[in-house]
Amino acid sequence: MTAPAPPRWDRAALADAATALEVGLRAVAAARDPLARGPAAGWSGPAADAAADAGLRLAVRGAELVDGAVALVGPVRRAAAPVRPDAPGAGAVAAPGAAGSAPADDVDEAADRDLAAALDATALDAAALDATAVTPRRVVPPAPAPATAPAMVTAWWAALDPAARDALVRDRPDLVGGLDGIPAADRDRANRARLAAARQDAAARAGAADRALPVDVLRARWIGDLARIGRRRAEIRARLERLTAVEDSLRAPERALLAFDDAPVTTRAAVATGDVDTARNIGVFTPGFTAGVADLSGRLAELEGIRAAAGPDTAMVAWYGYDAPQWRGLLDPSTSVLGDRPARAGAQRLSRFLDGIDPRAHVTAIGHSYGSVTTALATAPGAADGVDDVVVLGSPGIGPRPTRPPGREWVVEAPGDPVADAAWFGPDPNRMPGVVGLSAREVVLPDGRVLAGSRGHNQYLTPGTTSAYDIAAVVAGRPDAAVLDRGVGAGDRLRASVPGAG
Amino acid sequence: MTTTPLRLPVPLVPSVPAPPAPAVCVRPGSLTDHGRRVADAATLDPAVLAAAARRIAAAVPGSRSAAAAEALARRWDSALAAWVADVGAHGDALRATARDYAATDARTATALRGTSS
Repeated sequence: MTAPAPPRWDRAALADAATALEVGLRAVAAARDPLARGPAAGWSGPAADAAADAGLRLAVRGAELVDGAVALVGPVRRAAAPVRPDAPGAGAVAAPGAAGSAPADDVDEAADRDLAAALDATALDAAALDATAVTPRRVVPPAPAPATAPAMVTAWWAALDPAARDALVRDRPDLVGGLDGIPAADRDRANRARLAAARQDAAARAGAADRALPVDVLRARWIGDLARIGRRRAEIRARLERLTAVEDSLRAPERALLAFDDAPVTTRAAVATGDVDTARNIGVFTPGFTAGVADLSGRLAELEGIRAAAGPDTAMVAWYGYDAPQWRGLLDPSTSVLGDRPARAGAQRLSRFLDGIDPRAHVTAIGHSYGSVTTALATAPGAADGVDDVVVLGSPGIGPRPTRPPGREWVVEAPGDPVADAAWFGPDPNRMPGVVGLSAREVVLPDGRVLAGSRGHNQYLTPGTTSAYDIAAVVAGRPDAAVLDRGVGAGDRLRASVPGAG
Repeated sequence: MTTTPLRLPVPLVPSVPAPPAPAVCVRPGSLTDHGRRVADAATLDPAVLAAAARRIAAAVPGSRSAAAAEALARRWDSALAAWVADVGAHGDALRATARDYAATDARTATALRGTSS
């Protein structure tokens, strides 16, 4: 039996391998080139920065691969060089083609050790490189503009990974809190942070105004200065009170601040009771003349009653997201309760808010008094399209025709409510075909429960009343349980007797 | 007696200032071209380096260097394949982003036109 022949090196093949290595590294370098050139020409902004960062990281990884190959070329070329016949020890090599070259299959241990060490080092670098490989995430375009359809906002938000969403809630609460279509839980977190900052700012300004008062009064030169100081202090105090009212409205379980706008002379907010992200039934209440965030706590207490009556999986929203007309704006056409401009401005906001709710939920829009005008405009054809039912309470008229298909628009008119007979903005809805009347009178239910009647303009949501019970039935998607009554009273009969009075 | 409309004074309390919005500028066509160049780079043969390493191994059979070259070939196979895949995904993402920009712009234009009707 003969021993196996010792391994032989094919130095020519080794030289060819070194050449192949150089060809390969040039190919990788060429592939890396567009990454190293930076972002696309003319592209700037957060997404461009993110893309440039991702491209740079890829370019660096490519460069490290090239560097590893480059570092190996020299040892391979040396190993490919023929050994000089007079070399005294391991590793002695002659230049390729040198006179007196030894046969190509002579291998010495030192040369093998050196080449193996170079290969091992390159492999270690490649392993480290491989471990850092991360498939870059798709670059998400910048946040959509405020007027963008809520469905697109929802899609944009869903495309972000959780860390990015958290970062936006933390770093851009104004953006997240103000975009309809973002889930309620995220908007709540963002808006609570905005509210806290605004409240802190308002308190600081109020304190500064108090401290400056003696100096301001001493510096006053005439009565007008004093009046201005008084107005300024009142404004600062009023803002602080509004913000405090919003804060107070959140001091109950399951409340969420879905919208918040700390404007200079008004504060807008939408506060939910219940989980809007998961509820099967959602009612959105829009208030009317003289409404403001100071009413939120009381209103939410009433909406809690509606929610409880509607049953589980229900959420109610007090939407104070528009500048409801006030007494002080009565003579200004842009803000007057006598015109529809505040309602039109509010309807744009309300329709976006309604479209931002999960379309799988059963949504009922409820408008009270002037808020019914806003609600009708927000749910008119071409506006919000995710609303299933509309309920108007004590409405001064909602336009020439119902906004919902027959059987999906409801009206409640309590006895003694003069506003509900005004027909100021269009025909009285309780006399319009296709609009179903819900009772506001005292009734006894088949199970023996007695529901109280509502009277006047401001008792439609009062717990224990027939009107609150009926509203809850519609919100719950069980209108067959409601007590129907067109609510025709003396005002309607009087109107009917006057030709052309709607 | 004349009645003067009740008006609030000019707002004296500014709202909390929002952080300045970063300047955003994009040319979707240019971005598409850039994405295509990056995606084209991903057509690189991911075995190009590993093949060279295997040629080294084949040239020095039975040696320590041969084993080391085989190990390097496996590492390069993995590392270059991952890098090429990531470059391709980045190129695709850039082109998709260009499409998204164009689509967002078109839809926003439609939405804004709707607000004036």
